Amino acid sequence: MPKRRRAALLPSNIALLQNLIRRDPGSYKEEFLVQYRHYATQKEILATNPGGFHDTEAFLDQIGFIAQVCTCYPNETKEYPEDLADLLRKHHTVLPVELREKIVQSLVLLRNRGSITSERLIQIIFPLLTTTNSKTFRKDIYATLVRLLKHANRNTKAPKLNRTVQTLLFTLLESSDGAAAAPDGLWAAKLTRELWRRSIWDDPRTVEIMKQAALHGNTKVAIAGVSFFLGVDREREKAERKKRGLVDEDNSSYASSDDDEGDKPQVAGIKHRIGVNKKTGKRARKLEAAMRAMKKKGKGAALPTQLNFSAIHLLHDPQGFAERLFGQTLSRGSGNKFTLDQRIQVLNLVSRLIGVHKLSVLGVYSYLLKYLTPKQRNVTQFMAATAQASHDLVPPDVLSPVIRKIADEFVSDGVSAEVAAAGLNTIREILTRNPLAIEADLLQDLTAYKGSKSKSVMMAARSLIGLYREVAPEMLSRKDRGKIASMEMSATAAAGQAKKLQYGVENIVVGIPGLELLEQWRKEQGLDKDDEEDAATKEAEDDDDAWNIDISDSEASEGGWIDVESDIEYNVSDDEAGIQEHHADSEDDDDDSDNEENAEEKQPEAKRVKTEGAVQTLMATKILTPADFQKLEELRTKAGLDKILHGGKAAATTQHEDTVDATSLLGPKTGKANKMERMAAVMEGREDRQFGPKKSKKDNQPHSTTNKEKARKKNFIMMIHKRDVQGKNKKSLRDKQKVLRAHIEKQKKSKGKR
Amino acid sequence: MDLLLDLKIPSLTEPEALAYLQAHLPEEVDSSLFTSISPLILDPTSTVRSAVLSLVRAIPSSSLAPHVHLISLYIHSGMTHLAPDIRADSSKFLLFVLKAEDADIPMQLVSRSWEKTLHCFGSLLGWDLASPPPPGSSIPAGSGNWNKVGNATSIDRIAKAAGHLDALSLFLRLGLSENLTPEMQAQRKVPVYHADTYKHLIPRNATTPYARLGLFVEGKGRRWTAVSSTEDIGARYQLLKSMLPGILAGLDSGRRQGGEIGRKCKHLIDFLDKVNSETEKLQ
Repeated sequence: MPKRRRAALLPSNIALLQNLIRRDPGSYKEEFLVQYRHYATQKEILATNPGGFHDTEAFLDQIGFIAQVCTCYPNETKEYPEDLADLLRKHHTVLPVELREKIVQSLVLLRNRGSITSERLIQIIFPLLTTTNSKTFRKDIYATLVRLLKHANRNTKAPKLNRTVQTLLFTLLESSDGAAAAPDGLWAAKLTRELWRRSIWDDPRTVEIMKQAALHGNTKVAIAGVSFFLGVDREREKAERKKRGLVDEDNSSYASSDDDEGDKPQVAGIKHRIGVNKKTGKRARKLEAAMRAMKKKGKGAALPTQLNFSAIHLLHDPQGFAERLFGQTLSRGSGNKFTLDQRIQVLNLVSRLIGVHKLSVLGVYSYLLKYLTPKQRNVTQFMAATAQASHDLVPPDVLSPVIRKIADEFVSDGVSAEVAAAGLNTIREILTRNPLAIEADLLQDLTAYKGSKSKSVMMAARSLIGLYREVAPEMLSRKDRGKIASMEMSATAAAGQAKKLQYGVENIVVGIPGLELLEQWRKEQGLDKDDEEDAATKEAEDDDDAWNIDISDSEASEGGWIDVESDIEYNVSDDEAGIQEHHADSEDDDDDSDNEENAEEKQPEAKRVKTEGAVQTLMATKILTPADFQKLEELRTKAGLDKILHGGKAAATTQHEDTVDATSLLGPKTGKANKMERMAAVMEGREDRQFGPKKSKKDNQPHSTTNKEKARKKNFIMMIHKRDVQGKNKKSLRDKQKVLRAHIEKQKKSKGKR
Repeated sequence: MDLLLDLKIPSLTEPEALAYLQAHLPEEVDSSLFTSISPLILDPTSTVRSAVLSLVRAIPSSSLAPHVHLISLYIHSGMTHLAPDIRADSSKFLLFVLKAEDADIPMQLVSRSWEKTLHCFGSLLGWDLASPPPPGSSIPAGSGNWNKVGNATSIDRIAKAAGHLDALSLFLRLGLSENLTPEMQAQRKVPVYHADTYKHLIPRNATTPYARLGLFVEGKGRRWTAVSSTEDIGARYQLLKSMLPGILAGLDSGRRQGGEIGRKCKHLIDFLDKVNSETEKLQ
């Protein structure tokens, strides 16, 4: 019986009807159609006067109701989504705010129910982003779009949808390429940036959009595009780190996170100091400890990371981009649309592009010449850009005027120590990337500053010396070359193959770097014979051991590998092998040019051939197991560490990709900090700290119910006979009055506090 | 209009305010009055609705004529409203429009929103107009739906149903019978090249003769819009034809109930039969 009665139930409000329809769509079709017709009429009334609609509330309910149940009647409500879209498109400027929001909500709901596709939804709401003049609505739509794309790309990427949106953004940028239509393009840039930051989009097409934005005619859009390339990858990393931190329970205190960040500079600092200062056992031990600490940390942080390419790396046709960017925004013809800060930003990007992709945009260097004077505002930024824009494929004769100019303007007796240090540091940064850009006599002039009274200048000059000891000691004066470099030089001179820096010669890595170390080690251990002799029998067992490295084993070995001072001789010879390996190509070139010399001195050549041959045989005859690689890495680290300790053979293979920090060019800060700096440091310390009462913080933490809460929620009947409650009733009038008065007083006080 | 400025919209929902408006009604009524009072057709309180009805009755029909479309939209909205008493009152407004002195007013409604109004009647009386019952069944599907008209006492219900039936019958009569004015008849006589020429002339009393072309109607979905091409009787009859079984079934079940409703239903059935036979004769 009850079922029949429910069937006879007449819905008196729309929520009830919705519920009934959900249970039994077939029976309530009639009622639904009436409501649908009612909605149609309401819509027409709305169309007559969209601004002053009489009963928004009811219409909102109606729209929500139909959106909820329209999956039950797909045939009847075929036109419903389009109706809503129409309504929104035509009247969004005058519709009441709630109604507008509700329509967007309903459309999203319809998409979730599968009535419309995501593409269609985006086609409906995307144009509103730029046409509406309401800030809140725009924000809403923006949030909806981001949410939608995030949702669509959650498990697997949705290439079709992404492409649709990207095309929309492209056209938006293209169509708004005029000074008047700034905000449109800005929204495209903003949306793209947000999606990139959240790693929802990470493909080259996205980067192309931002490239388009960076080349946009409007200043704001262009700067948005430029700052995307400069900053967004760091942002993305930060966001990811945050997300990961949230996932695996953030129980690390502030102290540990500080440690985390302070670690890398620590190692770098120690390395730098060892490179510059006198080598002592104490310093070496310090480095050792720092390295060990870093390695430990690195092991902990070795979580599965997504393979993320930075935006700059994903660029298609970087040369064209850099040229156009430079031509449009910086070169003389472009006019002064940009402020100095903006120009610096663009310059920063252009120089990054040049550095990362090794482009040749020769106009940049002459452009920079103009700005490289000590009086120029923000000159360090220009200097950093100069350093970033140099790489080994820039013709030295283009770069040398720049260096000459820096040397003339910054490094002379008339200028202050700071300026000189900055100049020297900049020159060093440029020369690490392109050592050929300076003549020997200028270099020697600059290195003469090693005797400066100012510490920062002295250190900068010494670092320059350190650099050239490594790359081209023959350019330094005899005194400056140092022991190892001179020894090396004399050795190579004796061998008759004085290596010379050459433009356009690149270090090409052949084979596995450091394989000869492994070979040598194996020989010493006598493993090779073993292998050859009973390869057939032993291999299976050996291999099993070798493929599965025991973690504890590796830990144990890690502790013991640094044995720095004991085998110096051995390592020196290693060094030479490394050099030979590295400069194999250049040597080959040399060989071609001076054949006669080779004929006379065949021994080193023969030796080299031998080592190479050994490597070749090892590569050809043996499959390297993970254990081998681990050993190789060990040996390499050992050798590498020795290099650092002995004057630094830090190969500058990826240096051209590094950013140059403008503040680092100034050298270490000496003397007392001024007030502003001190305040800045204080503020920085305060950044993440929370002030205020500790109690409220404690209360807000998740916890189980307190006794107080339990007492408050306890059933009244259980409490009614307790003395606590009964006592209140039995109190004398005077006592009651007292309590009440005290309560009032307390309330007043607490109010006064607020 | 200073009267409206004095009375803000919220205060307009007071019946007294409406009565005041009615008492001080000026000669010429402009559109702002209509835009503010027509939503009150859907007002939840019955006193307000009746006050609006009496106010509208007081307005001279000459100034009413341009706003029939707006009012009829609200009447349609009332006919499909979820609240039963608003639904019940809607036919009063409809009757008022249909009985207006100026013949143009009801004809606007009949010619412009014929289909929609019929659909609304369907939902008002609980008849299933979309899917006619199978021809063999003696008891129509909508027989029980008379109850749906309202959940009040039976007398009240009968009164409401009677009101709806009155409105329906008047609506159908207006739409389906040619009550030509003498002037029009004279016009038809003038130069007749062909017997059917008048069918192809632009009707003189049509306010929007080209509405059926949908020139100024936006959007694709024109299924339930008020405007449909029902300018002449033939088109209207064609539209009615698909709904006729449902209507007849509903009327038939009403006739069986007897009493006042039964009588009204019978009259209407007779009228529809007559129309049916006449049209068939013509074809």
